[in-house]
Amino acid sequence: MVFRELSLPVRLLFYLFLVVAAVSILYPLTWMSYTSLKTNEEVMFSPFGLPTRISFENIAEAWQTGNFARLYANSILIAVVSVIGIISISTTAAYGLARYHFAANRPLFLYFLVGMAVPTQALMVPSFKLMAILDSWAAALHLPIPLLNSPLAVILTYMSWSSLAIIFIRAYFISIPPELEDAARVDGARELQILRHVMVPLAMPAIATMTIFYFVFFWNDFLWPLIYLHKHTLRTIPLGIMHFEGKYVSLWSLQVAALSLAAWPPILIYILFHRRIQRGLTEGALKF
Amino acid sequence: MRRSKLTGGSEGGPQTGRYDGRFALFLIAPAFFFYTVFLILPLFGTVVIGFTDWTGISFSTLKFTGLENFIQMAGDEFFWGAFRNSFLFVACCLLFQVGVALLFAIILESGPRYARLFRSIFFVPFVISLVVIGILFNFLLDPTIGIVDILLRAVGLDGPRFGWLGTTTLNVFVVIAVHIWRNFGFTMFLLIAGLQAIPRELQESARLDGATAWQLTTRITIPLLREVLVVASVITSIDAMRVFDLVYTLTGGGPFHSSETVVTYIYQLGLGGARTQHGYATAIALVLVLVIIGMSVLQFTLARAGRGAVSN
Repeated sequence: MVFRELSLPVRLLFYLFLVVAAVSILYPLTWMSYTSLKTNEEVMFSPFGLPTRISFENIAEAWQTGNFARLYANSILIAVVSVIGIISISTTAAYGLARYHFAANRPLFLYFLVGMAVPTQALMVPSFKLMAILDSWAAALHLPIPLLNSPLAVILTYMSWSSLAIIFIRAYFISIPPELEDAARVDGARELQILRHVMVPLAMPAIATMTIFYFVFFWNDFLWPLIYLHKHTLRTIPLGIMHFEGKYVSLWSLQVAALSLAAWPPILIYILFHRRIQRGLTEGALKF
Repeated sequence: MRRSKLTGGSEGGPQTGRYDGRFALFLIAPAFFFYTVFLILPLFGTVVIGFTDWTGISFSTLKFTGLENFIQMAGDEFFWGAFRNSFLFVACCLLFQVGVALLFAIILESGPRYARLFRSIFFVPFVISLVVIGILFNFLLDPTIGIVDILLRAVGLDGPRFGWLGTTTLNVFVVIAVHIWRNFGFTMFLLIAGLQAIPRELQESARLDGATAWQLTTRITIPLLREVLVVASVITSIDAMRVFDLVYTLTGGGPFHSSETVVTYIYQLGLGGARTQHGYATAIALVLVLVIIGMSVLQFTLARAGRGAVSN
């Protein structure tokens, strides 16, 4: 089907669909953005009008009362550590499965495949209990690794979701011609050096795709921080926003400002890197 | 496509490479450790705890009760309500999320002006946290200050008295609509990837043979898209079956459990409430695991059967 060969009414109808859908997406986000730049009085008297003058008072106050500096620090810590962790362990595992012959190769691959079929939400109760048990063991052994009310619990759970990354990166390693490694080996490179300096750079497209995929996933995840983190100093952005809503029910101009503070950084990053992000999320899911 | 992609095109594992198994195990060990301890172990836990009456205080109170939890489910109206809502979610998303995504994928791939811009706009909600979207729609759907009701009043209509999310019948559909609003752009991208993989020549030659745009789309494009459509449908239904964040932020499962879905019900029973029923919540989680696996297998099987019918 070629668009410009369609009849005029059909073309107009299609444009109408596209514009209606685009407005339905953009309007809520635009309303949120400009409302957070209004003064309280203006929000009260004309909730849908554009601001007559731009005011950052609600944004500033939401940043303060919502403790957004802390929320961002917590979210960044959990997402960055989890992504670095899971990508590192998955890349090495994928390489081991892609390039080495040994009896357990096939069974191990199938074992990792199981994780693709498990809805992680279903594991919430035993996962929480497991962390409680490990926490009490650590306390009994006087180890300084708290797992209850600790970002570590979230990170460890995230790092168990390696199936997709292993399968995705393994398939990419298999598609790389072995001659490149063999050449490095002839030159006397050690196995780990080959992985680091030859194979990882070659597999960078797959590794980057997975990094984006997992980062967006971890950044937006709400359930697991909700399960593990009960202290307000540990809250991530979704958790903080949720509590902010409960606390300032009547001050909704402040609440909308808080939403903007949570939504705009990801939107800006998306605007800057939309191609990479679109491709990363789509390719990651299609591997499913 | 699916099978060959999963295994990288070589069913038997590596075709080239080395035989130092010990080094390979050293490479695999860290991922194996985290995966086994924090995913497989809780999965086993789910299977075991689901057959107990554990309330979660200590293991000494744990007693195996056989199928009692599953019998309790049969008589638990909230369990059935939660599953009914989740299945409603799956059905509506398969119909509308995949449907709308397919429509827009086909329109945008035919090359209208600003196709790339529209595409990117449709994807925006997918990168925003569901909690932000849930709270934002709480404002837009509010009975007094929300734009939806204000627009309705402007044309002389009235929204539900306690708001769209305050009804016990419509609220689920409102949550589903927000879910689709957020996700259809993503589904559309999956289908666009599929459309771009279709060889141009096929459509070209049919076009030269005088096929209309409608025939081209229904007879050539959509049949050739079926594998990607199946993958998109499976992803869409799994996503819909385990929805949590939006329900939690939009309705909290209420009023009176009317919008409870399976995962919010498990959370509320197992971790959210004051009196937690770990055994029962976990038994429901076990049912959820089986339903999701069954649903995916069913869709892939139907697709394969359908393909057989077409090629015969």
